[in-house]
Amino acid sequence: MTAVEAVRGAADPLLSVRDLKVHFRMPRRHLLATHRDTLKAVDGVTFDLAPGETLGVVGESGCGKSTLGRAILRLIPTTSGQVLWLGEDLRAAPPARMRQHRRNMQVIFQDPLASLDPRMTVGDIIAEPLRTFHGALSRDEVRQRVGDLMRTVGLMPEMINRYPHEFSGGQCQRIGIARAMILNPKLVICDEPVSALDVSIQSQIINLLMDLQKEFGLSLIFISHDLSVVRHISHRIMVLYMGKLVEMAPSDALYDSPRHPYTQALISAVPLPDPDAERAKARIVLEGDLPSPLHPPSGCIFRTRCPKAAERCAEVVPELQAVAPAHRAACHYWDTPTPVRSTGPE
Amino acid sequence: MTTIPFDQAPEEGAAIQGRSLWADARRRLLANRAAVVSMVILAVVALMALLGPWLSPHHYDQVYRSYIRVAPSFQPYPHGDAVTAMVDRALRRSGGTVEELTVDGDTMRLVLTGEEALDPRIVRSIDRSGDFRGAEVVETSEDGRRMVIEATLERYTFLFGTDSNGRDLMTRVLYGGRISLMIGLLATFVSLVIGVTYGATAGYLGGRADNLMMRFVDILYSIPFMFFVILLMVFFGRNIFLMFIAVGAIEWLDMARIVRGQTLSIKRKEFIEAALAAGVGTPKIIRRHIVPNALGPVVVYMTLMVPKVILLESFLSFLGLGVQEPMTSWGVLIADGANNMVAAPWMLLFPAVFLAVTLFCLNFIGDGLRDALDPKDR
Repeated sequence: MTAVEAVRGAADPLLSVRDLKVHFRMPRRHLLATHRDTLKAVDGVTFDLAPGETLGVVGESGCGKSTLGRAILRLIPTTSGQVLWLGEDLRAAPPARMRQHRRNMQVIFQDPLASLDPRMTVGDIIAEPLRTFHGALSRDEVRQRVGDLMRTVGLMPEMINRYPHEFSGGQCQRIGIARAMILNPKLVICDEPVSALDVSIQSQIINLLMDLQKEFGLSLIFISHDLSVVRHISHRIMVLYMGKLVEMAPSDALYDSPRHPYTQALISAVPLPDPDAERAKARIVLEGDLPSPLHPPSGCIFRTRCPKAAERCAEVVPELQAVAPAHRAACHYWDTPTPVRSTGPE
Repeated sequence: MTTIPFDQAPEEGAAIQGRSLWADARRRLLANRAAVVSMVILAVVALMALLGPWLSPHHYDQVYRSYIRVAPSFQPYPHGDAVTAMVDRALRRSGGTVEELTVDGDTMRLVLTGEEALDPRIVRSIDRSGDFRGAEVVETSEDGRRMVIEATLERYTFLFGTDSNGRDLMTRVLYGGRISLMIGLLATFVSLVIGVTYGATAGYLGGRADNLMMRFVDILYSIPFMFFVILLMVFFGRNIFLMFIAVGAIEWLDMARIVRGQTLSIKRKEFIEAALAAGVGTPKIIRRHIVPNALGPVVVYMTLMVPKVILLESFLSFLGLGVQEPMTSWGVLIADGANNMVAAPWMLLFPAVFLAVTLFCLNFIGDGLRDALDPKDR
């Protein structure tokens, strides 16, 4: 049974996010201002995550990908909605209960070096979650476990007393992965874990994550702006635009038949290895810049840059609708073709 | 378990000892010549202050009435004719006149004549003067009007001279160094503990707690220091511990601000988020992650704070609000010296040199530490 089938067959999702909103209140412009702007970093995101599934999250910079990941882990305060962990709402969980849940959900960060305390040895860094949750373990047991895990993620256990600055970026990311794995969590949120690494190291880390997933039955939320990486690792992908979920589908369906014009534009922007094919390729070129997230456009947030925006888009917010089995998109005109432009020599 | 292929050839062996950032900084500091020389000098000064008063033949509050404001000298006192004056002073009320006075090494021989018979108890007043010991009558003429007295001369060495009360300046400078360095270290330590805890807590909690805590610091800042110290002295009397409190109460404010600033930048780092995600509690995050990472600038600031505190103490003592006689500190000694600058320049020179050398050393060490801990080099 492939993982995708497992997803479809799973009755109980590991994690259900319901209409999650993370809004930031901006400071007053001046002392007497009565109005305070609100930045909607994540605005009504809903999805389920099955055990053992990898969910890719893509979108351009500032679309709320990382905020979503942090909000699920309750690392930042959320505004409304629900984050259900095996049916229990994490947003309402008292701190002690939340702490208990944390052993099952871990995070891997974008900047491998910044995510490791420069004053601690690698052994101490990897062991920190262990010491938090299993304080009774003896030093030798901790060392043993850390050593085993270091071997699993491809680090020499002899390096246990070294400091993070003595490692390369890829090795640092392996340390971060080891720290996330030491408690055998059920969910790991990977916040752009490879975008700070060079390409050859990227594939090593991606393969490591996939191996670990197979071995321990992990669920992954894989946040990235690199579409090819996301396609390689994810079972399902969701596309965010300015804090809203615009399209969500199994990864092959999303790549082969994207329905939302934003997704189509993203995918057509992925370069092809063959220069001739790349030059001849028809692309959807988006006009304009990302609108200010403080003053999002009315109706469909994408309409200001959408090649097929119509009057209705300015008035009615498009709901997510099923366009195919397990494939949802938030566009009024998902079934009409999107105008393309050739980027070849004119 | 699958083993993911590793990007380096694995080698067997014991765990490799890594070099921590602290170890790196230590190496860089030891490569800085000015800092190392300063550390050595400072260590010597500190040792002198610690052991000097104990090894010195003079007690810091012992008064030599015959040697008021004598100049520094390697020759033991008394010099030259000084013995005559001493004998005169010792015999002032004895009624005899000195006919002959010879000094041979440490022994003084005195021929005394009087109009009436001389009292042999005269030797006691010679002993009591403190300049001689073991005085005894060697010879008495039959009518008792002529007497030969021998006594051993007390010889003293005052390497730094004496002050206007006839106390050995070297012992006092070293003793004052003890007090000054102790105030410097203790007050710095007190302000370090309070400042780091307060600043890290305020910075890490952020928001309203931070605002409240830092506004409280601002309020304390606005209290004039001298006014505060004078009030303390008025209420509780002069006391050396009060000085620690006064200086510590002022200095931790700076420390709290520095640490808070550091904390604000550190708490946004991803490793703090990683610790949060790992379920580490707030006190542990502050202790385990924030404080060690904020310590670099704190250590540098500390080396600059010690001289600042010493100067502050000197300033207070100079104004007469500091330590009390017969205890002393460099500040008190310098104040004394300044009053006797023309008649006895050494009284100003020696404590001032010691203070200046200490301050220079601390500043060089601070500079060296700042370079060694500079994050740019990481």
